Amino acid sequence: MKKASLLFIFLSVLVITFAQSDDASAKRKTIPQVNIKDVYGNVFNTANIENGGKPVIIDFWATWCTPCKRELDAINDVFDDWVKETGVKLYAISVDDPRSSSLVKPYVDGKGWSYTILLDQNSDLKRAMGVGPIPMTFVLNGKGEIVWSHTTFAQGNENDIIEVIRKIVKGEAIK
Amino acid sequence: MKLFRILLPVLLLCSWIITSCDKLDPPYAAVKTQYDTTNKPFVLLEEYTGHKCNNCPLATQKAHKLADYYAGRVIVMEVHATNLADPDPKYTLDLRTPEGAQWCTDFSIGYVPRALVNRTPVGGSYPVNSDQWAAAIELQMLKAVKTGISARSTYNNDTKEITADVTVRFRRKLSSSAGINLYILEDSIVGLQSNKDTAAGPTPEINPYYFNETFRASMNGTYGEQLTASVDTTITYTYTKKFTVTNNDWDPTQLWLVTTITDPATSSGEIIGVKKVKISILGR
Amino acid sequence: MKKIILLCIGMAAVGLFPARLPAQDFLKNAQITGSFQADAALYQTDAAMGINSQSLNGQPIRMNGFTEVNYEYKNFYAGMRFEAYLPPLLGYDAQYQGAGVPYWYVKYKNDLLEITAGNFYEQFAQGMTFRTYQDWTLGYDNSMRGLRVKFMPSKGITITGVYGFQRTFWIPYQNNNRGIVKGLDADFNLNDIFNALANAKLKITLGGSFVSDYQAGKTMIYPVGDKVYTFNLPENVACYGGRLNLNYAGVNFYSEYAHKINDPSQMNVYIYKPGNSILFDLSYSRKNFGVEIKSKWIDNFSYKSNRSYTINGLDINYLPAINKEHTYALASMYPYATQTTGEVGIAAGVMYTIPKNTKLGGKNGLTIAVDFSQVNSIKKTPVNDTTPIGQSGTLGYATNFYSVGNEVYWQETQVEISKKFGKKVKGIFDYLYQTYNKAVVQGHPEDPLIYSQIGIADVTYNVNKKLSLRWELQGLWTKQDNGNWAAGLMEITISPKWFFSVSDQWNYGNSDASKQLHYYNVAAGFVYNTSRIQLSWGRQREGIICVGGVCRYVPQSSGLTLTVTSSF
Repeated sequence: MKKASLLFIFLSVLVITFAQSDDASAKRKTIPQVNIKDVYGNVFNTANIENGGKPVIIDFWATWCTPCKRELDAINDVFDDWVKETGVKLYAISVDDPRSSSLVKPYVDGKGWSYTILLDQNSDLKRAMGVGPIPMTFVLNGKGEIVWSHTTFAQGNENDIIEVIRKIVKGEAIK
Repeated sequence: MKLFRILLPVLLLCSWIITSCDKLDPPYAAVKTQYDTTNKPFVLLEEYTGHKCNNCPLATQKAHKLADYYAGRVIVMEVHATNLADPDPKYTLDLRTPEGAQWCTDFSIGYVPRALVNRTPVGGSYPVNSDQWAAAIELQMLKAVKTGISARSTYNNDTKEITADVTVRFRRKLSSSAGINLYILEDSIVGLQSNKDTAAGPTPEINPYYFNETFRASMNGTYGEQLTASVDTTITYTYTKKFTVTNNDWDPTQLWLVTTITDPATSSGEIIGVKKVKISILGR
Repeated sequence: MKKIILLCIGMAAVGLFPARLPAQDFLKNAQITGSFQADAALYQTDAAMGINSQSLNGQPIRMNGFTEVNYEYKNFYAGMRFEAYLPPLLGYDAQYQGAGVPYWYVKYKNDLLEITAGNFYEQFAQGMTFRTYQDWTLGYDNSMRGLRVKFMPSKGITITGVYGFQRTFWIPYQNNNRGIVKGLDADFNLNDIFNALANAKLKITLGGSFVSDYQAGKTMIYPVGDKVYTFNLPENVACYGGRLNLNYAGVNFYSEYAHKINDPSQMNVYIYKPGNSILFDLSYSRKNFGVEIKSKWIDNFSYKSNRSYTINGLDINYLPAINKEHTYALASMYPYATQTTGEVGIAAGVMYTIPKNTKLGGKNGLTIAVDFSQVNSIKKTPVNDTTPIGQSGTLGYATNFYSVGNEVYWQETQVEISKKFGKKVKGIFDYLYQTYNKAVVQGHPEDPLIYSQIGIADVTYNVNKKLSLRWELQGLWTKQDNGNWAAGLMEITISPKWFFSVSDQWNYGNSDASKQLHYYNVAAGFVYNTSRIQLSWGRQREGIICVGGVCRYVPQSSGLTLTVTSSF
């Protein structure tokens, strides 16, 4: 028991160290290759997440997750402007399991969102990317490297996302 | 060629499917007849239960059916524990015991109804679900008879003292010591029991319900005492213990003594012998 | 255990010192991701709630935690998860007590093949025949340990094979204490396979799966009534199914059917009838409009790799509830869970966003959603005159395909309106009417049907770019069970780092005045990039948390809880 506690604390410290390290020289992470599905039931390899050299937003959400929907709603209000300005593309990755995954497409259309929707029904991509509680948002630069990530949503977070994207477009460094 | 490449896996698949599918034909069940008790050991079926557990009456009924079927070789003990045994304004009886709570934690009972069978693990864990009780008992019945126990117990009406005299002979040598536990059981405690199975009685509750074989207390601690430090098959071991009844709710005419002999070499103290005797009343 | 610790240290070393070791490519160019979560609680005694030190089992400090690490290098992947429950939080199975590495894997993947050894999560189609998954909040994990091979011979074809046994708490696999599960699944996308269909508007995918579970033991002794029987048992229980998905323009149709051979188990109380399950799902959507209707029929379809299990665990297949999942506290007071012994359900939903600058939509538009769901029993008839329905050791019952019984298990109507009032204020308004068969869902035959009406208002006010306020006001009205409830919440969010909330749930309508309690809660949270820390104090009402088809009972508690999550 004691040994286990110590091990847990050791691992926790390790993890926190990881989470906080911002080594600029380190290789930037990319999206792991995982086969998930699109809304038509086709297999989609996440290596194909790209936007012709322009930035990409990846957002993990679910139809039962209220803050996630609030975030996608908030972005939707300004998304047309974002696209015009930066050419950004948003992949909204639903982690709805088979209970609600069939609801995803009608929901997205009903909401009038214009995102690219992917289904990660068994959380394969979510696990591979180390995503804990949702919503969790990633921003990828033109080379497909993850340059920014954030968990949870608070009204106003969308402004931070567009700031990062603008920097990418201008070619500025992101810490 | 292409056809062959497809056909081969299909054939392999078909053969696998056929072998992975045990479709049975009726009748699915056959009635068991008389049980042959020759050279069979005694087994303790220690059921964990609670008066607010609506699955429990049916399980208890099954335990008794099994005890009948095994012709006295299976001894049932009902331990009231977990939050479903907690009293409340409706279910007023309190049959919980500190020993029961401790065993519950130590053996990871988790929920009721479940049982320990001779406190021996089955497939890696101790608690056995009610449908697997017979399977667990069968495993114990395959074992050799290791002990011969005789016990005598009395209750003194004047001193409210229970005395137990036990003699034990071992038929097999044990690797180390042997432990002894003396449990007091009470029959026919009247109370209210939650129930959801019509096969076990009226629903949603049975009133009055007779709680039989109810574990009341251990005479010699939660995990008993050492009977002997080393076991010799030629010696007859004797053990005497006294216990004063402080709980006035107990009905002395309904008390039983269950003696178990345990093998401390096993981590759980597996039971290698059980004996149940009536506690007789001295004085008035 | 020693091995596990070595493995942990090895993994940690790989992660910790990538720069210090000689510039080996598999360290330098590898990618490491992972996540961490710890939920700790300091429980208090609470006289009003009847919580004393005995109900806390003398252990007021409890913690659940995990760390998961994934390593990726070219085509090679490896990972593990360490879990600790010291001891488990209230409401989690006590069998979780302990710590260890229940999940580890190594994987090789290229365009043609993917091979996984160790633990894995996998789902065939919608999970009707096979699904292993993990849900931390639910305390559920039925991961397979063994081997998985995925084969993608050409575009549009995926063949998956799995072989192994499932996880249940910390119980090691030994002496056949659970089944060995084997499964095969094939998935075909016709538009990708046949060139002629490549550009067709109609998209067709179809597939089939076959799963078998081996549990040792050909017979068992089982008492029924006043007799003791020997039951013959199937050592290999097979389950197979097929599915089809058609998509044309905005219309999508999905159907899946599965059949299971005789599988007597404690879940169906040892009846030998084969099981069936079928699902239909039809949806149509276009910009601003979506509609979905689905129906499901389940007949004796619990499928576990231990026939003795009645608790959450060792499920081979996945049968989620058909109704919508709710997140508002009072809307999820009475959560429905799939009745695997038999149920028939229907659910329909419409969602429409009235565009901006229209008469109804106003300046900012308005979204309206209407949902309905109902679940009934299926009609069961005796197999013959002498055998009662559900008698152990017999077929159990007979039923017609898609039969509908009279007993209502669940019904719900929900109307939800979301509207923006100007730039700063947003509101979500809900009305729900629910019928809940507590007797069946929670197994208390004495309880009557619960009819409840629920109203919810959720208003967000964005004070400025950084500061936003949110209020929730909820009411639940019912004459049954614990009577009426009211709930309120206020949340202050200071973007991007802070949030605070105060909430209360009040059971003001409880017929027992001493139980008219307030379940108050105060919480504060801090977010830094991908890490989050939350501290809350208050009371937690007794309830049931359901995710998909699995539910967990949460006892009432009172105290301080700390949650830390982090991703990397």
